[in-house]
Amino acid sequence: MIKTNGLTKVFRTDEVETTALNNIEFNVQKGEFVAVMGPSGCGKSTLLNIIGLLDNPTNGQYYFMDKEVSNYKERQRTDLRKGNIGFIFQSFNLIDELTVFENVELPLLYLKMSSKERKKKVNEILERMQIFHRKNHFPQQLSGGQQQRVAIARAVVTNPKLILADEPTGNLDSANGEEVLKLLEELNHEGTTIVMVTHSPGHAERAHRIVHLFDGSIVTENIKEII
Amino acid sequence: MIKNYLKIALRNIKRYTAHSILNISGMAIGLASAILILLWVQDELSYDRHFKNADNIYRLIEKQITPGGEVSLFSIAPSALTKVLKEEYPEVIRSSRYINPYMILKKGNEYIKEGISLVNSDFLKMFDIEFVKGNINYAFNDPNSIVITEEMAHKYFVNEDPIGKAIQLSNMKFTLTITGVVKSLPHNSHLHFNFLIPVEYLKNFGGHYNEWEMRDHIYIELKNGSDGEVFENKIRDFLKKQNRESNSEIFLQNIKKIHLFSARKYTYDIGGHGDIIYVRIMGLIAVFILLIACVNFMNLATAQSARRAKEIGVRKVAGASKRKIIVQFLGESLLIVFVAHIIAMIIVELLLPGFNNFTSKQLAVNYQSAGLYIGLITIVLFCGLLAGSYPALYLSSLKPLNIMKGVINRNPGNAQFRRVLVIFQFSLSILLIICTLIVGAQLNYIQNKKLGFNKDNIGYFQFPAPPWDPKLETIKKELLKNPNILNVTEVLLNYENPFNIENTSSGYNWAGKRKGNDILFYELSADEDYAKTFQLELKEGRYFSSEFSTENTAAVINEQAAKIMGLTNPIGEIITSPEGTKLHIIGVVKDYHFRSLHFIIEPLIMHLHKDFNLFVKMKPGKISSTVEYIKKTYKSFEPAIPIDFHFLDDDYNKLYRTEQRIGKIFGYFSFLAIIISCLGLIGLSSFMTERRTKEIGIRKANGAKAIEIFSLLSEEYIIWVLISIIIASPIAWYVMDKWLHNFAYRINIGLWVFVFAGVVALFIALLTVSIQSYKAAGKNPLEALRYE
Repeated sequence: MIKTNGLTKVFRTDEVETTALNNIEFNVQKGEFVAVMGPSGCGKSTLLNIIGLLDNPTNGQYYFMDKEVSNYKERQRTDLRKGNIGFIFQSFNLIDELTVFENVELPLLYLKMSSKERKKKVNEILERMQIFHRKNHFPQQLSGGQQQRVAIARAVVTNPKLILADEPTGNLDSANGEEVLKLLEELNHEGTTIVMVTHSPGHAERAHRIVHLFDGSIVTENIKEII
Repeated sequence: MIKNYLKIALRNIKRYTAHSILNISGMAIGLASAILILLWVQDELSYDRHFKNADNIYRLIEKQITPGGEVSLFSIAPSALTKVLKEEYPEVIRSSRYINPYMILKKGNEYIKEGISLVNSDFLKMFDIEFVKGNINYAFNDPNSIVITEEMAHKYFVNEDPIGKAIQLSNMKFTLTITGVVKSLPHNSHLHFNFLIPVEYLKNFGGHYNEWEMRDHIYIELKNGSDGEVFENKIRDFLKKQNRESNSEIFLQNIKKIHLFSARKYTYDIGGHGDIIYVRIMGLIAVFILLIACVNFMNLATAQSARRAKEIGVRKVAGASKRKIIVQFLGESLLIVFVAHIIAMIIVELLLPGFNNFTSKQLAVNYQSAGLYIGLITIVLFCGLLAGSYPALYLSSLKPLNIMKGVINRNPGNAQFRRVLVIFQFSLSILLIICTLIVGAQLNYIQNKKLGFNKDNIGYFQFPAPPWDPKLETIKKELLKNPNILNVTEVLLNYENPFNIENTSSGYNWAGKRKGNDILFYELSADEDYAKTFQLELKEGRYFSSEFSTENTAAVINEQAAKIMGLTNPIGEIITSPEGTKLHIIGVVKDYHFRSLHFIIEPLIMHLHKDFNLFVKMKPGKISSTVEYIKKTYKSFEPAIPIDFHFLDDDYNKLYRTEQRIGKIFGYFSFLAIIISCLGLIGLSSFMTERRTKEIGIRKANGAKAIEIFSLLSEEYIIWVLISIIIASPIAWYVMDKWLHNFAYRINIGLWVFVFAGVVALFIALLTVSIQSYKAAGKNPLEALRYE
């Protein structure tokens, strides 16, 4: 599903040049659950951004679903991302002015789905995430764990092939964090490919493979299970 | 999707109520102001366009050129042209004179002095006169007929049918019979009348009038499809063909151009014209105000970008393209402008009565006109798209990356553009303030300038008797018996505007005059008390006096006349009038402003003459009792016809009414522009202060005092206002210098105006931002640091 060759990302300002990723060879098979670990500033989020088609690499190739996308323009990246990639963030990133239902519905609006179909899908996923009873509430009215469940619902409502989770349990207590991991495992068992950035070794252990990044390069990989 | 956009737009408006109110009210005030101005502009531009054949109706303009090359333009032309042009040119299908004589009608015991005009029968069809009673084809069959407006019918013939009723000319034996009742011309016509009498009525007075020497306002209507320019070329030299000695040319002025393109251009013109310059200025002001409101919106919307960044990032991650984000935010701005325009229409309706009072118009919003809705939709679309364009483009280009870690976008490019917007707003506001100050200063100069004569405490009236009637002398003597009446003089002046001396002549001769050097002299005819009454300063010689029997062949000139004639010792010199009368100069008065300050002091020749316009100089402090005495005295001499008494000061003010209005308009709209700019500044400063909360907390924790924080936050605004002053000043100087050149006598634009405007703008800006700055400066640093 994901294959990179010599992936490099350099950030340039007037005074400073920072190499966030340095010649990364990062491959993820379909249905894999990969955890990415590393200290702060090692390039984890940058890698996730490029894989998630939110940014372009400076050099190298990136193959997503067998398409070479490293030079894709923003519009092309948006079109490819729609319905194929779901995102889960540490700080949830729900829109405060929209209800739970409306937040989860958001990706479906951009897929031009009919209102009836959207309602069906959203309600289904809310039920699954056990948050249906709060569907008309606003994010400010929910606990951290509930907000993350909404964010996960939004990420999976389009049945994406790939889920990218950037420290999904970072702002949660252990109980809620455990709940989130269980959900991710469930989704992975159902066939969704998952790449998760995490600081928690315990959580990383739940993945099939752990990739360690340091100063923009992959230093080690621990394979737990080969699919 | 649109439902989603609408929901979020409304929820955002509700969530950030204070800023929404700022945005909507700024836009509403801007829209209301622009709509009021555009109503005025539309009305001014609409003059005379409602006549069915307006494209083909012209008035004749006579251009007289002296051998010396001096040009005078008159809005009157030889009366004979009315008939002759129609006879000789098939293109001319209708023609009419338009005479506004001084006439008083009498109905029973009532005296009517209201808008009486003498016209040819063609006038009725040319100007689409709509008959409510009577018949347009027969109304003028009898020279002693009269047609009245509905308004006059209601006023003077309550509960009776006016048709067939009689109206008399006061003090005359002729009776006029009402043959028609008509609708008044709409207010947006340069012509106004209450009564129409056929010109043939003048035949009642017998006598032989040379219609080539008489001059009236003349209107002609050309056949459909005729080219006005081509016809004008045909008739240009018509007068020269009639009279080889004539130096006059005839031009055409289409009626649609009369109202706005005649100001101060033609001698003997009908009053009440507007001026295209002011229409353009007002149009520009409307655009300025709208731009300021739109800029406000842009500033506030982009300042809120930090709050919307997260939403935009999430939408982009969820699959929204840049185009969809643009559509969303343009839609939001259109919604806000739409709401604002509804509020604006309410404001317009509330302000219209006052605005009408101020502009002396009867403006109204015509809710049945499709044009109104087209206009409003255009304005809403224009403002919504303009105001929303930058925020939409800016917000749609935000990278979703930064939301990953909850980092708010602090793109410095955004802040730079917003600075530009605020500077633009303040430059426009300062421009308006400077213009207001200069107009005010010029008006003040006009009011206080020494005119060379004293117009204070002078009232005047007409006594209805011919100039030779001995009653005039008797009433004058009677008035002078009152110790509060200092002087009385009889003057031949334009009764409607005593400051508009229009008698001119270019045929004077004098010793040493160069051949072809025909100067246009202004002529004033008055009695021997004129100089005393108006306190003219004599330079040499004397004024007219009853002690001398040769005064009928005497002349008094002004300094300018003496200079132009090259007379170093004018007293005793002989000048010959165009009629051939030899006049000996007995005195030279110091130059005085006998016309408005728009014009330079022209050469003036004064003749001794008695007339029925009496000007009375009254003692100050006793004016009302003196006026009562004058009215009583008048009534004792003329019990039948009511007195029409005026104060000269009022007429003087009328000369500059347009400028006074413009000054007020500049004042009001500067005030509005500043209000709108301040609304924007309030919103902007609150965001900018919030953005620097962390910095403020750190500075305070390190020992900064509240006043130092206040200065830190305010210095940026000081720089913006200074830049605005630098931009606005040269533009304001250029524009106002051009405007001041309308006046022959004008102020010099001093540096103080620019400094004062800048200080005012600076003070208002600082006052506006001070509340936010003061609050931020006084905050507990811990709160600010916890914000992180």
